[in-house]
Amino acid sequence: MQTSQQVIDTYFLDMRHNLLELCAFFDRYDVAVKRSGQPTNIERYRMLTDALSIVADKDNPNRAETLLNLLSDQT
Amino acid sequence: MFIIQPHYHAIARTCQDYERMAQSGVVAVAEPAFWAGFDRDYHETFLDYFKQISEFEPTRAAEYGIRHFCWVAVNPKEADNLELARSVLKEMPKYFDRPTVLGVGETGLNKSTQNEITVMEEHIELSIRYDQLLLIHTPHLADKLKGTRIILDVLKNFPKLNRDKVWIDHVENHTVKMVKDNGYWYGFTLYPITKCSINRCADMIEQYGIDRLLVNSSADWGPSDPMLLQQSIQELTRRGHTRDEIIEIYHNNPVKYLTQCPKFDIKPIKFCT
Repeated sequence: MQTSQQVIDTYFLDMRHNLLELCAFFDRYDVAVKRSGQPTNIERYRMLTDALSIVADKDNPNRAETLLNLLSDQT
Repeated sequence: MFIIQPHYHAIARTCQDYERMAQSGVVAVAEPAFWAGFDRDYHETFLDYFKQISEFEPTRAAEYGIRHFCWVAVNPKEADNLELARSVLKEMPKYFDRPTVLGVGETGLNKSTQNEITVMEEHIELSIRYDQLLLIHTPHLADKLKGTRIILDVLKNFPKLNRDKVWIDHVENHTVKMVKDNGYWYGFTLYPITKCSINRCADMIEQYGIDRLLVNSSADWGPSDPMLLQQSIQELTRRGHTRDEIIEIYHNNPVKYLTQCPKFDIKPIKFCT
């Protein structure tokens, strides 16, 4: 098992890249909404914005599991 | 390294993939029956496909020193066509005697329709009647959680089913515990975008252990990569996992599961220092 320092050192650049891609995606979406005048696929967009609060939840040790549950058909 | 790739759609891949796998330590692959990317119209098309994976593909793999085994089934994507599925199921027992056929798979669910459930039940019955290994596919993306729950409920209705012979594949963080707790073999399927990533695979190994685990990278005709198995080994090595543990996961676990079919005759190995 890795130490917390090793986890940060190993994955920092990958996670920096992933977060940057995430921000760029939301920027891209906002520009597209502004251009077209109306948002589309609201439900999927909301899922992704809801996911951001899971990412930021420091008290949840199973964020990947919680995110996959959020993205699952709950019927 | 000696790697067994227990879920590999070889007919969708080139010889160069076999070559790269052989060069990086793959000694055997097992090919479940899969969807062709379109729904087939004739049951004979399935039978030719079974012939391809049970007769021709072993010869192609052998060119690279890789053993090739396979499974036969009507995959869940085409299981909604009850009439077609049943006409294929009727023919399947003929293939169980072939020297490289390991069992029934991959059956399971896609959209979890009633027809899919019925066809999966008939596959399960067949596997029990002919004492075959059983490989079950769980649905993709948003359909996985619900579909996995249904699969586990359906399996409970078969008391004669030997759970040691059942492998439920493509589990992820939100389905691994329920499958493992029910005593089945379970698979992490590595893909570049969907299913399981190499990092989450390593995370779940550290969280849930390696008992009954079968890591695979499927590698079909869509965006996929047979070398993800090797990358996941690299990730585990980077995290400090021992070579013994890696051999258990990538070689000896598939051996333990697959040798329940006597046709799979590869022996477990031990790393000596």
